[in-house]
Amino acid sequence: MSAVTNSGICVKEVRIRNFRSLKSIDVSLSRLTLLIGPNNSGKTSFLEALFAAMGAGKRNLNSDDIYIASEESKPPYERSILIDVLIRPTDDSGNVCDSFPQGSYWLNLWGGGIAQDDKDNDFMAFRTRLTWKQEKGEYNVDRQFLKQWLSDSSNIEAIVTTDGISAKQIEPMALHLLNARRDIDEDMRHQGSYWRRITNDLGLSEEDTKKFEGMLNAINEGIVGNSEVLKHLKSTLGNLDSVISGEKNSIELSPVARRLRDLTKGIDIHFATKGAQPFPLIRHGMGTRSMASVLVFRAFMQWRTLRAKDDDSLHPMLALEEPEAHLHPQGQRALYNQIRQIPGQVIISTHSPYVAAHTDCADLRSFQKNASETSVTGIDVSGIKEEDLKKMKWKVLNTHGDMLFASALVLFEGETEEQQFPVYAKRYWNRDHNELGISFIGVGGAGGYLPFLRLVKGLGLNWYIFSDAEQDALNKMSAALKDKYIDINDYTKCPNVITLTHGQDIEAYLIEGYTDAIEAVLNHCNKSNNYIADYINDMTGKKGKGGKKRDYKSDHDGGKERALSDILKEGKTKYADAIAHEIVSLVDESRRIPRRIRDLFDQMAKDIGVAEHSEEKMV
Amino acid sequence: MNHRLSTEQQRAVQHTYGALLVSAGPGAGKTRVLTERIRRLLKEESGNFQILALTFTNKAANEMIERLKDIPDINERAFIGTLHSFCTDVLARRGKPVGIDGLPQIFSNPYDRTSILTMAINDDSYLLHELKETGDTEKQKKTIDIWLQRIIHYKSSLRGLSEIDDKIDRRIFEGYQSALCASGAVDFEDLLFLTYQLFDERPKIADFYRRLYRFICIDEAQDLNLAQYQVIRALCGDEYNNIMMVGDKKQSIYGFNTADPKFMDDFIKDYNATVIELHENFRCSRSVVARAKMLDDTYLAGVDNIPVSGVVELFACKDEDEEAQHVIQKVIGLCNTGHPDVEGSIRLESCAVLGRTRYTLLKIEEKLGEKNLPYYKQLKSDYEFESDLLVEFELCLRLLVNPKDRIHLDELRKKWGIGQKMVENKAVLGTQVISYLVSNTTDKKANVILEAVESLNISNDIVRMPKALGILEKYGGGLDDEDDKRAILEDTKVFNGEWDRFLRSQRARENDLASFMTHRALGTMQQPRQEGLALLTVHSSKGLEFDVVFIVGMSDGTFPDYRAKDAKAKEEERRNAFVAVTRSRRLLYLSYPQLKEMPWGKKKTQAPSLFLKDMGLLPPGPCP
Repeated sequence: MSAVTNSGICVKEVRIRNFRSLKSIDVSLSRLTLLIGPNNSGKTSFLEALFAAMGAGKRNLNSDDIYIASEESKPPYERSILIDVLIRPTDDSGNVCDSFPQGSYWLNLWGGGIAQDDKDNDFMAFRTRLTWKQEKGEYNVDRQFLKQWLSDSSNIEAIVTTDGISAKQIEPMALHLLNARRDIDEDMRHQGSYWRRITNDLGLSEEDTKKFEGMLNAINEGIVGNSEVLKHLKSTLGNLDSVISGEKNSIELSPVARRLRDLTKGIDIHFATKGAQPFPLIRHGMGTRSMASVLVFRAFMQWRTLRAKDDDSLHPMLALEEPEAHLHPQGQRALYNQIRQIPGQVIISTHSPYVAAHTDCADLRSFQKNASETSVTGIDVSGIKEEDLKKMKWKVLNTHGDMLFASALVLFEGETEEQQFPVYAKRYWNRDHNELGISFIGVGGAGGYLPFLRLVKGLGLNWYIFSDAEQDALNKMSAALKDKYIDINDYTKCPNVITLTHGQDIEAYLIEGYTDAIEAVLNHCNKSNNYIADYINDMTGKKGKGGKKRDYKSDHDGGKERALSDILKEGKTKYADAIAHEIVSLVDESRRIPRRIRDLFDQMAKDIGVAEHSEEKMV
Repeated sequence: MNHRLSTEQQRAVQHTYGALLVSAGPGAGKTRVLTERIRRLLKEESGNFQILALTFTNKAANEMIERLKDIPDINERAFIGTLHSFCTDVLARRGKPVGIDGLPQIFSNPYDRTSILTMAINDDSYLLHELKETGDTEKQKKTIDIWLQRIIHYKSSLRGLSEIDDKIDRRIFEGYQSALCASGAVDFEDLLFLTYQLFDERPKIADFYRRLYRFICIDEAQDLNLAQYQVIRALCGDEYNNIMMVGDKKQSIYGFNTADPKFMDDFIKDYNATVIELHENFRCSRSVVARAKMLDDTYLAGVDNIPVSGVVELFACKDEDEEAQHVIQKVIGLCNTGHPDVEGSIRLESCAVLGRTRYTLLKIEEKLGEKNLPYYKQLKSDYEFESDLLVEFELCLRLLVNPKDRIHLDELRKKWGIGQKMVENKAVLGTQVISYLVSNTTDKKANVILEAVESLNISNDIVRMPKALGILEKYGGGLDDEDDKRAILEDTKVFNGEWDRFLRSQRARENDLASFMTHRALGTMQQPRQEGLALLTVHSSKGLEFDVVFIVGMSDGTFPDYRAKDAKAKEEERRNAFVAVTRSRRLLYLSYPQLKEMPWGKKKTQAPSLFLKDMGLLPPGPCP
């Protein structure tokens, strides 16, 4: 069965004003939307705002939810919370279409509440609003249909509302929220949980129920009849009727439930991992229990969708917080496919690069918090070629999923930087770069910047480029920056683009300043006293890159440098890391981080607000 | 009406898809067929859909809602209302392309329209000159009326400015429309005109309503005029044809309103409609049906199967005084003794006195007043207040909901004796303008009205109408002048009733003043039924029925009306008589005065109406 049956609608966009840290955000939604961003960036607030607008359950909004600017002690009365939700009709394949067809469940459900845009295409939008009521002296929540949905969202307060939207008109698309604390153990014990709702009615015929309850009685009697201790207990308890008036023989012991509906309350799940005895789910770890809770919800929704009457429709909406909770990486990888099978629209907040890695770029929403305010960005994929999108997905998300969660990203061409920058960074900040949320990413040559740039730009991430200075490399990087989605025409004016100079690549740059350190590493690694001399002797006259004969001897001054450069390029993996460690341990403090790299770090320190830790301050 | 549906009625009820015209005579169970079909569709047809049921009057709509109220969520499954209400709803939601943003404010009152036209004429020296050419003030007044009728005629024929050739007509039309627009208002014709324009120019909007309403039902189809029929056509487009119309050509009496029963024929042609004819009369007594058949020999209702005999009698009276006397005595007598052909007792409410025009009812009204007998007259769509206090309060409400409304600002200004200059270039906003006016008038009521207006608290969600009315009521109660006191107390009672019905008819959150004023203009809060004897014109009796009906003034020149000269108008007079006669369930008493006092004082001998002869009622019985 295809899990994604089309309901005829989709929630396209949500606009929130003045809800907690969400002062003003517009978030468009896909069938499966991934919210990413650091802790406290507003992801949970977003899900809870949406729940307050259209949640399945108690939809609460109160004055504590109103946005407060950092200098305010309480919100001014005229500030209202607005949560606007836009819904569009979809066709059989789930794509947005112009109109609700005749006979549409939704058309009938919302009737005059449905509006038409400038092109006379149908939409339904409604507003949940918390406002201060002067005459009542309290805050009041109302929900009304919107007459318009402005493409420019800067003044949505001015949109006219029409009639009120009733709970009945929201219920069929109500949002279910599975928060990070979910646990199948809790679900099984809690009245009203999805587990209970799905197991409450087993759908057995009257006849079957009678039959099974008869069997349960027999089992009970059998157990009690064969158990000496239970018999003893029963006869002692029988004395109750001498004290409290009751029917004769009114004591029954029930080792198992006698009624089916009681029995369903105790349904248990046993789960066996490979090669182990099956044991109850509640004894499994939190990862399994959390995942089981998600699967129960999926079953619940699929069941409800299947059982919906012909004329009725259901648009399942799920907000799922951190589906990866407690799962090991391998489990996190498998998770995405399970989630995809949940029917309807799903919104996931996640910190898992493994989950993010599977998503389409267009489905990512990045939450960032600046001061007391959250901003949200997504990648505008309109106009990006299919193959470029694929490139972004495979090159970026699959190999560098973690970059989505970085507070600063440094892009560069290759391996040398990838190996060395973490070492310099640790020297600079005296902390591991991961701890600071800094990602160093080699894009695989100067031609590889664009997919990364589009992604980081689209998601509003803090990014830097550290580029070689060969003309070809600069041209390629410059071309990538000029892409219409990046729109940087003159990179030399960008403080976040650092380039080497004089046509040097990173190896040439290091050779120029750190021949001593490099030679020490080469000698050490190769257990030689003068590796460079050995190399020149051995390699001169042999074919090098491009089939050209090597010549390290003819040029009196440059031969040694060329040889060094070739050594470093041929042995990046072998030497790069060691050279960096050698450099950061140099006696001369001022040489411990190469100048241009220090320039990069200075800029980053300023931007992310983490200053350089000097040696003196180190303990 | 618990009897089973007849085979033909059943056929109409069972009809599902495709166009259907039900041609149904008086008492044929038209409303019942309509409501039963709606009930059946909602119950039996599968799928998600709503029904649009359009009636000619609010009363008919209310009756239909009443009959269907046992269906759960009927308000969510069907729109039941007049075509004008439907158009208002469409324009309020979708009117932007035709210049309506939000709930339209409606000028329904003839006086308002005259003011608008007068304003337009005053702004156009050419028109002002033309008007003065027509003669003295009286003549000018008449000209304005004629011009207004022409504007209405153009609009109800859906003719816009570009389709008018006559120069004066063009200018009055243009001036009237722009003055109306400047006042932020529309008139009744605009509701249809603009909706037609909207559906015509934006077919996808009409398409939305077609998708929403799987079935459309239209009552009183014989009363459709061109504009109404075209709105329906534009709504339905080329493909949609799930339309059911119910009507009776014999009851077409709104020709003066450009209604034409030919649209029923057009409907059959345009939509290839199935026709079902319902002839049987389940309402009237044998005598009444027999006389109605004599009035119109194409009326096919069977007579012989009707169990109740009933009565049809004619009396010739000396003059209108005697006629009135006779009617009242007869009513009192029937109420006291009852009648074998009427089940149960006869109450004042079971009786109605009908006249061709409201003038024929004046004498009766006077006598009823003397005898202190309760009666009610035709409820116009908007009750007109008797007391100045409420009239002025209502003007203030208009200014509150429509700050652009210069017409009513002028009216209030004049009533309070404030010069034009004082209000020129004043920003008209909320209660400010009212308190400004109050501060410039010596009128003592003004302060009371201001207090009431302020107590409404309109800037908040909850409009405190009862509180405001309470202030007016308290003021009225304290007056020494008994007439003023009574008028105010009566008016506030009516107003309270309207507000109450408004709140009940709407979802509570919509209790804003603008919506109230719009619905008031549309007449949707019409009092369902009043107490006492009904005094009605034939036109306003349409769709009603009474055990006992009196038709007075059955003399030539009165009924048929002397103005009906051409064949078409004469036919309509006959249909008027047909409608009047068939209002009676059991007993029908016709009468005429042999002498009639003319407006200029002279008494004129009256000949009996030719309809009396046709009904075989001449010579008349003597007046008892």
